[in-house]
Amino acid sequence: MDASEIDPDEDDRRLMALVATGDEDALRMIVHRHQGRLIGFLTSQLGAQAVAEELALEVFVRLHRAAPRWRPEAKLSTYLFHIAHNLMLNERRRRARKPTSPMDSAPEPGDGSHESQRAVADIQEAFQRAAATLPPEQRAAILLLVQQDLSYEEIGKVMGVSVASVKTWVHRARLQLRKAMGDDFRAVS
Amino acid sequence: MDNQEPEIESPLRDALRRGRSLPVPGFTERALQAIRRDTRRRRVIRWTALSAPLAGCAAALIVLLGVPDPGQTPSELDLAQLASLHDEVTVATPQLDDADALAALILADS
Repeated sequence: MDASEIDPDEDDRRLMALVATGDEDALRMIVHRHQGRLIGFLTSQLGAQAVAEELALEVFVRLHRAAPRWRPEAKLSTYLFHIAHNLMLNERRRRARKPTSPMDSAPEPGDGSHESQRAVADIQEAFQRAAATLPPEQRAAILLLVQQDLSYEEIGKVMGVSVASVKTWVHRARLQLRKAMGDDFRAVS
Repeated sequence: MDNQEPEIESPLRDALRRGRSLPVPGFTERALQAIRRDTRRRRVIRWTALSAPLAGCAAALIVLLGVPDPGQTPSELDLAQLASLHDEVTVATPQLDDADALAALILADS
């Protein structure tokens, strides 16, 4: 079978069945396939890649524990984001009890040598600052929708809420981001 | 169902999609190591959970059955065992006095 014909979701199900039997090669393939998006999502949420990587490690540890019980009723990626979302909630609660450094830090300024690149970099910085002000559920919802291409139903499963709630959060997040980005946004659009 | 919000403007969409995937070199091996550590830890916890009640049962058996004093010499141990057996034999053996024994012999001859 041509590699391009393989349905990734179907392949994930096949690999998870092998992981449940202790197949480490299958586990390696799953981690390799999903780690980029998971770390990207967590970094966008948390603002710190090092913390995102630690949480991503824990996501895969928990996935491995659950492998014997996992049933392919949803996509594996949906399940991974679900675990990640719960871990993020735990992390927020932990930091709320013991505040150390801000969880939602603004990124370091980019280095755009060209004007167009600088404009894009400025937009990115403005966006990151604006996103940091969003309530966690709004930020998660809009990232899962626009950044990670999940459907509303899938986002509902990830976050354990109704589709209506997801749509409300996405709508509010969009309005807040437009408002917070303000002039930076209009300069590029 | 239309998954995309048409109202999400292009710059915002581009900003949101930035960092969509951040693969980290070496992360896969780190994850596998973390998973192996977790597997080992859970195995130890399982064995500990099993061995504690087993140890308790073993201790109970030792108390109930009695364990010989390891300081005793074999001969002393044998004597002690014989002494305990003697008591059991004595209890199990019918007790006859001399008169009964004589009567039994006379009856046996007749």
